[in-house]
Amino acid sequence: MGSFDLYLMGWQLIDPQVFLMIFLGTLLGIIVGALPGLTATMAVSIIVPLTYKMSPVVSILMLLGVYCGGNYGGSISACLINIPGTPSAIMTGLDGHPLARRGKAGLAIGMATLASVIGGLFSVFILSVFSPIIANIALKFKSLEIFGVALFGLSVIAYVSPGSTLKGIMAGFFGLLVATIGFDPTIGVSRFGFGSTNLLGGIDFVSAMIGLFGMSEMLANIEKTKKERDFGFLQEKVTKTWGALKYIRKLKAVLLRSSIVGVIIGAIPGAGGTIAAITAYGLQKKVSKYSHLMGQGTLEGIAAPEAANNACTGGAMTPLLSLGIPGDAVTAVLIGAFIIHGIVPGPMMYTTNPDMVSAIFIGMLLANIIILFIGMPGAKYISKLLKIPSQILNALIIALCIIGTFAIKNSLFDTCVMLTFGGIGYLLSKAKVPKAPIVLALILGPMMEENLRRWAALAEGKYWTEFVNAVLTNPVTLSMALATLAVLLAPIIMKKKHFSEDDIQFTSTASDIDPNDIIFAEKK
Amino acid sequence: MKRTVSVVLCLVFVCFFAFAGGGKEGSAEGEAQYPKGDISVLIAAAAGGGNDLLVRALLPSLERTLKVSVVPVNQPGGRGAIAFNEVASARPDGQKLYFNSKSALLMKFNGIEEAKMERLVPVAQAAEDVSIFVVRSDSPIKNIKDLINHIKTSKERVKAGNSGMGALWHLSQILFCQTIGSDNILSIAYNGSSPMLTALVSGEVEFVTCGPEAKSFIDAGKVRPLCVVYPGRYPSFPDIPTLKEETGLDYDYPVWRGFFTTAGTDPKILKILSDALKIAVESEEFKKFTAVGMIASFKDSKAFAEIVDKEQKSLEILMPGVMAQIKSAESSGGKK
Repeated sequence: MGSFDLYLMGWQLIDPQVFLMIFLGTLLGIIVGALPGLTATMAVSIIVPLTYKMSPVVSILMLLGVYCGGNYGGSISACLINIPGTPSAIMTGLDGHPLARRGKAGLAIGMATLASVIGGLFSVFILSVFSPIIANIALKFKSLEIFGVALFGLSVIAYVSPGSTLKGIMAGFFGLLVATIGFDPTIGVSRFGFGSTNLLGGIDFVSAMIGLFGMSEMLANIEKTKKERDFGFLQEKVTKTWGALKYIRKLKAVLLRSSIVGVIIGAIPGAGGTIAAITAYGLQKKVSKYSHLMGQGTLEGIAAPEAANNACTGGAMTPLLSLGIPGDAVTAVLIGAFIIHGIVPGPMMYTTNPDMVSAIFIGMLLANIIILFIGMPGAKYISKLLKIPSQILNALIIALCIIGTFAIKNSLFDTCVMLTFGGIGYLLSKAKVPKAPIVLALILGPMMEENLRRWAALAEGKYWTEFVNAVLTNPVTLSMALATLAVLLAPIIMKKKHFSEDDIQFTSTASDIDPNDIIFAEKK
Repeated sequence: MKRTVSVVLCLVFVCFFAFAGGGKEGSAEGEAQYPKGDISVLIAAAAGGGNDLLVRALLPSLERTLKVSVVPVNQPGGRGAIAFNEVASARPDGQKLYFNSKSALLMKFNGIEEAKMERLVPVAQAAEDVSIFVVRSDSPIKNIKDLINHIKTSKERVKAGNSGMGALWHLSQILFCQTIGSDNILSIAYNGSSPMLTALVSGEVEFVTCGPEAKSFIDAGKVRPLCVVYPGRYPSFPDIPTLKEETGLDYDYPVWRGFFTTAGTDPKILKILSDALKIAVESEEFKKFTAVGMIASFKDSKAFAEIVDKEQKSLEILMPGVMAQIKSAESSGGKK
């Protein structure tokens, strides 16, 4: 295979229909992302069953469009109504909203769009360069190494998920427990089957996810009072979005730095766009000359988190494609989509489906370009959608959740699984237990178990000698063991967590600032 | 309070809609003609897999012959047991078909007690595939004789991969060991063929037994096929020698894929279905179907039933021992 084949062979899969589906996916993602209460994770999980009848390429690329679009879309509502449309836009409103209030809504959204596109494109570049290299190394991984990587992933998730570490670990263990339902991976003993044929194959992962992210969020939305739903909509015309273009050169350092932060954080299992945005914003605040003005409507305060949260997409796809480990909750959902289509994501994809991998690179590239051309001229129309009554939306999405889970396997049982997990997810959000560790544990749990038991079978009873041997001779095993230990001990050593949503306060009462002192930090 | 009420109400509605879907079908009519309406084919596998693609390739011709819609329903739940159960407990009117490979016979021994073959009746065989023995492309084992020698002379057990304990290709491996007269292998289970072949490439196991799905790995030059177990050269892999050609040894391991329906179905209906399937399997459009390395191979309900029956009997003798061995190996921590 020629060295550039991997980047070119996917083009033959991109026909007008595929392109149209990427476009639709991206548009849908932006809309869902823009609507408060509907997250990108939810969008992808409820759309997975709808893509079931499509060909694998169309389906995966459309979902990637939703993923990229959803991550961006949140910034529109963040700027206009100061409510992040999707959690990863949590930091965008800090500066985007004050700027919009000063009559510069177009500039704020334009900046967010450009930053998103640049972050996204950067991450696709990194993904396409590094994932084949990592995959090539990963092809040499044996059971113990895969177990090590999965264990590390799971321990990181617990640590980085927003809220308390303890709750993150609890959620992770709950996911692991659920993952043990059904046949065991090596000898086919039924576990927690309770005599039900439906439980033999385990809990359907996509259904559980639709419940956790779709249904439960709908339940939480319904609960909101009318007052909470009627956010003060800013009667601001979104014009002159392209005006942001001229600040790009001045902000290039910000964009590059935040994109790198986004890619790295995206690649860490469990840490998604939200944490990337928080980190990039925090970093920007540390290094910026105008840090005292951030939070009052600076452009760099918009560019940093938006570049980071969209750079997350390529970052999160890197471990998915090269190791088969999801980088965040959305890529965990994508694994479900791959599996529905009979593709096992991981290093072997470069051998078995290289055209698919190539199409993924190209699809993500196109999705980001589409964001630019939908977001810049279309933001003003999308902002109108924010006025759709949430009752209608909620009902629509609940219907989609039910039909979708039934459609995956034509099984009413799966719909019940979805409803159960919807209830569980709702209770968990009440208890402020993060849900992302559950889904990641659902994927990583079986992976860990299978590989650990396989390694044990290969060791033929000499576990300790084999283990010591592996640790001493294999750098991957050793480094994974040390990294896992470090992550698990970190909360004990460091008193305070880095990533906590509680630290962020929406102090965007910018009205007391002198309007003449228009703060385009980098412009001065 | 209002909020609680609305949340509860909403939940009630959701549950109502969720359960309302499972309505009853129309009442029984006379057995006058067949088919009485749309036929559904339950595929015990997810969409996009080999079994699924195969059934979908047969549908256009079936629909033309039977003049009704034939609806494919993917039901991979419970490792094929849910689809099995649904067809087995349907009315015996031939309106619901079950499609699976030889795995259907193995389910019973793999802990799914209700998957008794007596509850179904074979309709027709549609395709056939083959076990392939594969090593890494840089392995010192160049041909199947080398492998047999290696197994017989190695001091440690030779590490082999299978795509599931007690599953299709593992059984082929066990029969291989019986044929060569040495069981000096340690067979490791992988969750499907793709992870198994990846593990072979990583060097974790020395050889694997798998089906035609190894094609992409063979084409990419990552693995080397040693032999196929088939009466003659296998049409999808004409360059791979057979076990018999290479060593003179052989064992019978045909892997069929075919249609079943509920036990007790009128033989006349079976005949109609079997004839329609014959036309479909022998159609030009199906002959082009080589996407997954399987080959078209038709057997009518009688011939198919004989094969199923014969295999069923030999599995009854073989499998209990195999499963007991697997379980004891697991509980003793893999020690010999």
